[in-house]
Amino acid sequence: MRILLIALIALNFISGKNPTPAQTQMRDTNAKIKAVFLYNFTKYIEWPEGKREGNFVIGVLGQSPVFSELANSAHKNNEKPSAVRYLDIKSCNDVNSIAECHMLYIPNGSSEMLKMAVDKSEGHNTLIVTDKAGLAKLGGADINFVVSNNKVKFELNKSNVQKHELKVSNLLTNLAILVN
Amino acid sequence: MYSKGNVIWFLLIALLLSTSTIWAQSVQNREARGLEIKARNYMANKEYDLARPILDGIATDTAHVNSCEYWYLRGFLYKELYKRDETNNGASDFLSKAFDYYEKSMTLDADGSHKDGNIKGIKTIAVLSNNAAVTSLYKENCTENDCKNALANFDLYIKAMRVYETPEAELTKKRVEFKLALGAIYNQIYDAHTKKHSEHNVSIWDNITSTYKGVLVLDSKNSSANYCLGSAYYNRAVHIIMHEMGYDVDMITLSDIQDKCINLFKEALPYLNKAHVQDAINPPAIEGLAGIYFSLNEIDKSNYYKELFGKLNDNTTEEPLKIVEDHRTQQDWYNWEN
Repeated sequence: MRILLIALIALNFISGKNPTPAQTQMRDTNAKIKAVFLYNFTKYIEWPEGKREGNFVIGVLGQSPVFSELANSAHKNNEKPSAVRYLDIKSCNDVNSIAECHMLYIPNGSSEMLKMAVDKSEGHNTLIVTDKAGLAKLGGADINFVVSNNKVKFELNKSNVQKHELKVSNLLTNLAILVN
Repeated sequence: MYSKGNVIWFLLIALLLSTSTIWAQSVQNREARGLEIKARNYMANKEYDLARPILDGIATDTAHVNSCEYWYLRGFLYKELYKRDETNNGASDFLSKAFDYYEKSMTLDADGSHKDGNIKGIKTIAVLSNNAAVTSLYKENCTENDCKNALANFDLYIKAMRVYETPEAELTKKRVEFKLALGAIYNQIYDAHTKKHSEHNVSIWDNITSTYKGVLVLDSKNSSANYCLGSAYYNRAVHIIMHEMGYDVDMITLSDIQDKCINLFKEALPYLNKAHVQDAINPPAIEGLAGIYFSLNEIDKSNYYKELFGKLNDNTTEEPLKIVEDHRTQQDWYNWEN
C-alpha cells in the first residue's frame, strides 16, 4: 500500500501536478501606509489647549479601507499602558458629525464633500487630510496625500494649518511638500 | 670499495626481504579473498549485517581496491541495506554510497563483465532516490530539513539517470518539475511559519526565490516559475507593510519601509508580466499585476488588470484569449509599455 502511495505521488510529481503554487495575497497596502501617516500626524501636530484632553477623535468621511486600518491602529494604541490618549475612530457619513473630530480624513471618493467639511469645521481646530491632487493647494485641506515615484507622500498647506490654530513640528514640515 | 662477499650478503638480504613481503601480501590477499567469499555467502542468505563489516573492512586491501567485482558487491550490499532499513530515513547516505560503489566498479570494469549488474543497480538507485525525494517533499509537516534531504536525493537521482545516458532535455524537464514542487513546499513552510510567528523567515524566503530562479535558469520561459517568483517578491513586500510594520513607526522608518517595499514590488513586476505574456489567460498572474500596480499607486494600470480579471472570471461563453485581446486594445498605455 505504501509503495503504491509513493508510486502515485511520484507519478503525480513527474506528470507536473505540483502542490499548489504561491498565491499573491491581495491586500491594500496603501491604506495601511496612510493610516500610519495619520497616526503620525497625531504625534507631530499640536492641537490648542482646549483640544488636548479626552479621547483623540479621527473621523473618516465616507467609505474607505483606511477606516479599518485606523481602527486597528487605535486598538493597538489603546491597549498600550503607556498610551497618552485613547484614539477614537469615527466613521462619518456626512459632514454633520465632524465637529468633534481632531482630524478628519477625506478619501478620494468623498472629495466632493471637502468644501462643506471645511465650512463645518471652522472654529473647531480640525485637521483636514485629503487624498486627491490639488486639494491642499486650492481646496482648503491642511494636508493632502500625493504619490511621487510610486511613494505616498504628503503636501502641507501651512496657512490652512495656522487658520485651524494647529502647530506642526519642524520634522513634519521638513518631510512635507509645502504647497502654499 | 665493497668486497665481493659484502655485495653477495646485501643481495641475499634484499631478496629475502622482498620475498617475505610478497609472501605476506599473498597471505593477506588470500585472507581477504576468503573474507570476500564469506561476505558473498552472507549476502546470498540476505545476512547483510554480517556481510557489511567484512566488505567495509577489506576496502583498502590491494586485492580489492582495484576489483570491479568487490565494488559491485559493496554497491549491491548498501542498496539492499537501504531497501531493508532506510527507506523512511530521508537523510540516509546508503543510496549515495551504493551509487559511488557502483560507479567505481564501472570505472574498473575494463572488460565490461559487470556492466549489466552495475547498470541494473544504478537504475534501482534512480528509482529509490526519486521515491526518497518525493517522500521527503510530500511528508506531512515537511520541514526545511526534509526539503534539504529531498534535494540531495533528487540530485542523486539525476546523477544516476545520467549514468545510463538519459537525454539531457529529459533531465532538465524533471529538474524543472522537481524545483517547482520544491518551491511550492517552501512556500507552504513559509506561510505556516509566518502564520505561527507572524515574522519573516529569511532563510525560507531565500530558498523560495533561489529555487524559482533555478527553474528560470533551466527554462527561462517557465510561466509557473515567473508567476511564483513574482508572487514571492510581492508577498514579501505585502508582509512587511501589513504585518511587520507597526502603526506607531516614525516618519523616517515609514519612508525607509516604503522605499524597500517599492523596490520589492518593482522586482515582482517583470516576473508577473512575463507570466502574463507567456500565458495571457492566467488569472492569478493578472490578479497579481493588479495588486502590484495598486501597491505602486499606479491605479489606472491596476484597474486595467482588475477589470480584465473580472471579465475573465465572469465569462462563460466567450473565448478567453479574445477577451484579453479586446481588453488590450482599449488601453493605450498597455501598447506603449509592452
